[in-house]
Amino acid sequence: MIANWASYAGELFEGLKITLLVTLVASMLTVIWASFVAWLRLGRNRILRGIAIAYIELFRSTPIIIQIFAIFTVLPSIGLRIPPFESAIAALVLNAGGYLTENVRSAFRSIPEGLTEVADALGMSPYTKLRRVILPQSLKVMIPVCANTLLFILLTTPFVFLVGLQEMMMKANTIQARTGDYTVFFLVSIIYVVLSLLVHLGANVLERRTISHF
Amino acid sequence: MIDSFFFWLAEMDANFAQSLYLFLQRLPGALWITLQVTLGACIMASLLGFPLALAERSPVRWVSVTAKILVGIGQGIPLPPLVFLIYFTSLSLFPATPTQAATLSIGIFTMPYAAAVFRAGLRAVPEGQIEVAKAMGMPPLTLIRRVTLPISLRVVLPSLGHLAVVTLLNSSFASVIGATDITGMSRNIINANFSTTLWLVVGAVYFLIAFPVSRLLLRIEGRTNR
Repeated sequence: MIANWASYAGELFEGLKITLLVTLVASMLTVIWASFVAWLRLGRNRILRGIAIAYIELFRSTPIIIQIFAIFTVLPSIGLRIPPFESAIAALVLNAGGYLTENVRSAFRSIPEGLTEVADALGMSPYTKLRRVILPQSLKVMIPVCANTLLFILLTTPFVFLVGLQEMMMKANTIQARTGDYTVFFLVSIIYVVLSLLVHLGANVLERRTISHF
Repeated sequence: MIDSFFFWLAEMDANFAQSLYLFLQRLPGALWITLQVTLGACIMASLLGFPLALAERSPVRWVSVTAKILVGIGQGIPLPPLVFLIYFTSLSLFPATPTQAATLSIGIFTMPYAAAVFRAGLRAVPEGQIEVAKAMGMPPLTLIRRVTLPISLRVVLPSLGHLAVVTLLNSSFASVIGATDITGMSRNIINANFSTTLWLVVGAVYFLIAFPVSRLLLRIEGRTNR
């Protein structure tokens, strides 16, 4: 088993690079997109709020496979041709946005408003206030949000092999079809467990650092 | 772009009506398979997840640490590789149908999340109740049956309902290993008739099941923040 694994390592690593690239790009876009939807969701405009709620409910109540196929096949049939990489990213961001908007919303709500007033009352300069109060507070809530987003996207990337993107899951499929060795899926699972462990550890370290740093 | 939209509409009509007819004809059977996978996986996840949640709270250190590690590992594995791994493994052991393999793998996938639900439920049981039962000399299994379960179920049932909705959505992955659930059946029709518009109808079917159920669950929980 291990000897076989060693012979696929190079091929899987090529896929891993794409998986990581897709995860990073989609995560960054998701944080921006989810913040935007959360802003619409919290806003005063009733129509925009309705659209945000409809989007969230629609994407939370349909399977990601259908979302991927819909984006990948329905859009080209109305003349929008999108290559696999971009449509994979679009599917991941739209799917994750439905789940993570609530996350972002509650994170922004947890920033206490009184603190900036206290800083003003203490006579802090705007720069000190930004460095000592606003940045640490928003970083403290943004780190868990980013970590959650990374984990969520990481665990949904293997679905996008359905659009033919050559990421790790697709490589594993190719290897299994060629050699018949299905233990390659075990190896892929281990790699995902290690990656999600790394995200957890990274988030913990960052959280401790930022809190002690300011 | 507008032109191609109308072209698409005109072209779609021919195949769409026929594929929609086929879709509706096969929907009851496919719906049954989807429900089988969803409920089977939920039951399996609960049966495996409950002892795991108990083990996580065990006073014996190696038991609780092992359970926590298992849950941690389980929450780090994505669905696709797990489904393929279990499908091919079970094929090498017995002639498994795609539906059986999908139920098994989605059940195992959902297990750590079910364990998390049960952990929250167990935490809701007041220590005092357990102390009293112990003081009365209740044997451990009776204590679980008469005290722990009834109290924690009140917290657990709505969360299990939400988990079931997520499992319904995950069950569509069964189509990738060849099960003819709603997604698999539609995929066959779409591939045969080139009628991609049908995906929107398929999405609507899942939405019509998942959305009312999660709304109902929110109402049961009494959450009115939406």
